[in-house]
Amino acid sequence: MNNIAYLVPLFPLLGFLINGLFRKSLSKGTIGIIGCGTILLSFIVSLILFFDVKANGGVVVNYFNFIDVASFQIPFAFQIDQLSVIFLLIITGIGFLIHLYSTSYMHDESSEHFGRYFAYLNLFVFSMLLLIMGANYVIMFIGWEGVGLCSYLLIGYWFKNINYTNAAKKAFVMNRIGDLGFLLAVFWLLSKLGTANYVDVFEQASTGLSSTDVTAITLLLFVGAMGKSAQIPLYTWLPDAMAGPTPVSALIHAATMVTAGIYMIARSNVLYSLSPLTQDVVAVIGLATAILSATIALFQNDIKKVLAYSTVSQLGFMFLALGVGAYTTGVFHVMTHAFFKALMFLGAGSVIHAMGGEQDITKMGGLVKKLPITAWTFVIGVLAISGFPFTSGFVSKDEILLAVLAHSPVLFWFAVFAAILTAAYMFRLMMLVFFGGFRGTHEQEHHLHESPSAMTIPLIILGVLSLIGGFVQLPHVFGGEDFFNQFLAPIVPAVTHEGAEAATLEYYLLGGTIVILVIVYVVTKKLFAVDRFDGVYTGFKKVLADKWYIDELYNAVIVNPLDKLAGFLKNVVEKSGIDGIVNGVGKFVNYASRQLRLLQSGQVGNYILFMVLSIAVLFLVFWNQEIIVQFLQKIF
Amino acid sequence: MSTSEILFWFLSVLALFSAIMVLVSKNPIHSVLWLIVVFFAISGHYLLLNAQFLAIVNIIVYAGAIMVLFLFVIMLMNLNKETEPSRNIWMKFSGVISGGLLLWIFVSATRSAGEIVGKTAMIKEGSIGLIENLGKVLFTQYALPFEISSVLFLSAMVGAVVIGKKQ
Amino acid sequence: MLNDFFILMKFELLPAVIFFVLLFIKVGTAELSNASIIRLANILLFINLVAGFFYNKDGGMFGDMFHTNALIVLQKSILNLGIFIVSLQAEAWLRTHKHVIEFYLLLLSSLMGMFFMISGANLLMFYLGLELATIPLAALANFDLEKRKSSEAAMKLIMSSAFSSGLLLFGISLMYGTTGTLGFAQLPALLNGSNLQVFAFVLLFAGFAFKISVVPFHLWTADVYEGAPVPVTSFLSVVSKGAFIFVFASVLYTVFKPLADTWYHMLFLLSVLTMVIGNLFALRQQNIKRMLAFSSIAQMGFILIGISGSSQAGTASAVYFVLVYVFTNLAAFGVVALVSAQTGKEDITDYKGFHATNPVLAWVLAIALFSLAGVPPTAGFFGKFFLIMAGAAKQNYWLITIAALNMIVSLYYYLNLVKALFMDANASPVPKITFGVYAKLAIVICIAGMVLSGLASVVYEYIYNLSTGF
Repeated sequence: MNNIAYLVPLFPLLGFLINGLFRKSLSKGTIGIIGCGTILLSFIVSLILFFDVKANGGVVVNYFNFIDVASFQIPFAFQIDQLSVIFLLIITGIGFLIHLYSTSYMHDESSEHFGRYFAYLNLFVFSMLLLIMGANYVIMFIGWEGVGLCSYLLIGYWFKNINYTNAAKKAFVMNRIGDLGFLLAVFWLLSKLGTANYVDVFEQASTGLSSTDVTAITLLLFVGAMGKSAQIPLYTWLPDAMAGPTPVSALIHAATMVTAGIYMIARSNVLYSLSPLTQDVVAVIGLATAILSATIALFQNDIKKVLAYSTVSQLGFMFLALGVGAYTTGVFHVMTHAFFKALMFLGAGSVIHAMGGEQDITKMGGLVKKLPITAWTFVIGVLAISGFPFTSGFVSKDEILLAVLAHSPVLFWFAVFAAILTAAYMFRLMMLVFFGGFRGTHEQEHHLHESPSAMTIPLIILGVLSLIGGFVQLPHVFGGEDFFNQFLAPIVPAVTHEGAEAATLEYYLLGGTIVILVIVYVVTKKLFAVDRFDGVYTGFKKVLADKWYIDELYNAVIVNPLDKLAGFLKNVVEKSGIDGIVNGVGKFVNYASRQLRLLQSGQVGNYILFMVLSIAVLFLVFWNQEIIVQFLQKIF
Repeated sequence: MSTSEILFWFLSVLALFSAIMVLVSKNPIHSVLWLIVVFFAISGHYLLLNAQFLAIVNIIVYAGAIMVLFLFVIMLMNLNKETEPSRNIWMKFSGVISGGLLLWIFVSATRSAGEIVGKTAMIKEGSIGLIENLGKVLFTQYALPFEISSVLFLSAMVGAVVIGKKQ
Repeated sequence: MLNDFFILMKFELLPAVIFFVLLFIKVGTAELSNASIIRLANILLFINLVAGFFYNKDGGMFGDMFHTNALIVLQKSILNLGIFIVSLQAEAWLRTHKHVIEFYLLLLSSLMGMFFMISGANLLMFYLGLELATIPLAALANFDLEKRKSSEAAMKLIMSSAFSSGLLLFGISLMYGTTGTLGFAQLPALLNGSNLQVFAFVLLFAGFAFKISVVPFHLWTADVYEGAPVPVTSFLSVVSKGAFIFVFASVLYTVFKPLADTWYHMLFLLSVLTMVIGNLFALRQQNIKRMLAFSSIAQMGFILIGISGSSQAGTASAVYFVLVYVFTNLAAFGVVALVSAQTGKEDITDYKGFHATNPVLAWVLAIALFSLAGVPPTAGFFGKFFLIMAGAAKQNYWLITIAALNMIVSLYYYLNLVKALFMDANASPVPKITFGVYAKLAIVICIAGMVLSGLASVVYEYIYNLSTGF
């Protein structure tokens, strides 16, 4: 295993280099093959690693000494264990499907930009793999930053549109704020324990760190997660990030990058378990985010924005799970969410492609007839996310709810409320887009067609996974075995529910889910499977549709004052102050030079005079040099 | 005061006065003639110090050869009072001041020098200036510098010929 | 005894032999063409250079008039190398000159003077060597016989030299008067720091400073470098300065060791003045020879920093820097000599767009300028680095700071020239320079020297092992 672990990130890196450097000379076909092929190769190697870990357990592979300063060493090492190998499969597997999808979705681009796209996408996968495979917080941070960069590059892919580049900038800046927290946590850890390796840190955590240390570190790490995984207050970049191409949204902003925060907390579960305060904070913020974004999603008219807010909301659920100590559950929900959210984003891409670029759902409707595969896979995704019994989403969501209930009933009812909202907005979306009558223009109607197989095959595969993915963790009461928990047990503890009490709760949840889903189906069919829908909202609905005016708040309180400060620094401090000093030095030297040149008169007699004078001065100075030196020392 | 002292003071005053006249004279030929007087005075000092050979050589080489050469050049180039460039008065001032400064430093250094204060000059006693002793030292201890100086003259001659030759 | 004579004085005898060979050719009846004389002279100089590396011994002759050791042998070899490269570069100008043999005669006698000066352990020998080194150069400065500037340069050189030699001799005589001896070995014990001795020392110091073109005794440098023919300027700026630096360092360290505190502060003050004023003057120059003259003045300031370190590293860094300086400056002057010989152009504005017509020469000049500026990884950087390290041993951080600031200022005028060479356009650039095998050889040696002495650390280590400090 030691020998092949490095191959996993190496393939995407090579893909990035080849596609990036030679994008002007390669054809689109070649670029596509290189871009997808590298990820496929990484997936195969990840599979090998998975089986190896399953048989032999986890291992740390050291490559070289990355940083070797005075008292601490940070090796460049990979930790291939149960947790990282799960994420590897998700990233490379779903990554490959999305790459495949992109070859068709992006075929309108020129080959140079096509190459750029795939280069960035491969670079992203490389960074994400580094993040996952790193054996210490520093390597994780390298990947952390790398995915932030690629997110920026890909959101602003169509860079000629100023709105898109602004969205990219916003994403990057908000990420950065989170990264500051992450870095502070790493520094704190390094200063207290002298190491950032997971193995060492988790071993020494209970003895080497005081409770304030642990609380602070975990809170700071969570700040990083807030930025990367779009939790309150650093979530507003994710909806704006929908400016990027849809496959990008699927890969980065649904399945992988945004889950980096979850991975990080799951990895650091030892630390978080030592700090109940942070866990409460994580749970509350996760839950609040889930509810807030669900409310906003209910009144959005852009298909991708709905999905974006949905992602934010589901991430909230994951953090909620982590916050109550159900780490494996959080990771499990990452996996299932990756399946159905990627599916739905790719489906949305298919719809947009069919609608000729239209993203407004008020103009869609009744697409199930013309886009059957897209529609029915999308329905599968909706069912999964809403928790339709025995879909993957059902299993993971129920586990979360049970874990929350065990921790606090109050939180449980709020979580249930969020789950209901989830079902509501997803069904609304489904009804508005695929059912009812077509509300768009005649040209759009003519243009409607099912997408090519490169796009539909990933949809189908993801649909299947969304349906059956839950069976690795089916609760005992339904006849399943918690394979997932067992697999992750060495690294991540699980919250198990045994016994009759657990079984009863499961049945209650099953029943409750079915009831809610039926109600939601009926209501949304009535309201939204319609021929006319103007999508205009008033009153309180408008507040929700306008995202609670949080963006405007941020602008007023943070962005504008910073702008003014920057302007001041540029015009006053930089131009007059620093430039003034630098130019002034140059002017002074020039002036001195001009004045001195008069000394060189060209007359030998003057030269000799000067020499004699100098000798006299030299002698006088050095005859009295002690006095002069003392005098100078007093001045300086 | 003994004869030597009187002679010393007379020759010194003569040398200093002639040197100042070299600087002050407007006519270059006068400057040269005053310089010859300086050399004679210095030769007189040599005689006082019992360096007879040096005195004679001084007169023959300096006053005889070099000064005559200067006179030739001046007469050939027809230099006289009118062709002398007149210097800026400030230049003259600064020249005098810096020279004077150097002189003052030298005099004060000499006066405080331990090696000189309280010593008497070796008048009529030293023998190094005598031709026999000088010859011995020159050809034994200082043989190498002596030969080198001949190379020096040779190269100076070559250079002078190159510059002076009619093209 | 006779064997000793030939071996120990090999460095002086060889130029003497060549001198007389050329002299007899001149006074003889054989009418040799300029080309053949130049070829003969260069071959002889090459033999001179190579022979210097073999079979050397430590020892002394003629009492304390002559002594030699491994470091002195190295220093003389560096000067031999310098004169060989100067001779190669002079070929272009000498081709049509009427006094080729005299040129070599004077050059060789100057070299001999330098050798005797370096080997001398006696103030009188030192003075004679100094005069023998200087007077032929004054004649050589006049060798552009048709140009008035050349005669002016020669006159300024001889007048300034004579005056400073006079002061130097005055200092020597006072030193003799106060201590009673001229020998280097006996002097340190007899130095007692009295006022007269300090005055004598200041005069001696001034004499050295004049020869090394240290401010404030540098005023003759620019005029002489501008007026003299370029090969003579190269020789003056590189070989002559190098020889005087060698003697300066050794005299300060051995003879005037008791006065170390005195001359340390003098060196500090003069090096600061030299660097600053050299750079300030160089900034405004339009004539490339004048600019290089002032830049060499500034470089001398750096060497003084190294010497002020008073340590083994001080001598080593000074010798090493002279070696690097030989290659660097001769490369720069070589290019200037070629351009000047063929077109007579010496202005920086004439050098604009040089790269378009003469890419090879432009690159050689650019590398030399970068080396002068002290840009890594050229040899000039390492030279300056070692000098400043040696100087820093005294922990005088003002000196180091001023040195660093001056390196930055000097970068401006060097890069200005580089920019003119490569980036400025010119309506009438310098036409393609044809250069013969001599100039090519000279350029190759200079570039090879710059690269090797910079990158091969053995060079500096070898020099370091030979040096002594205190």
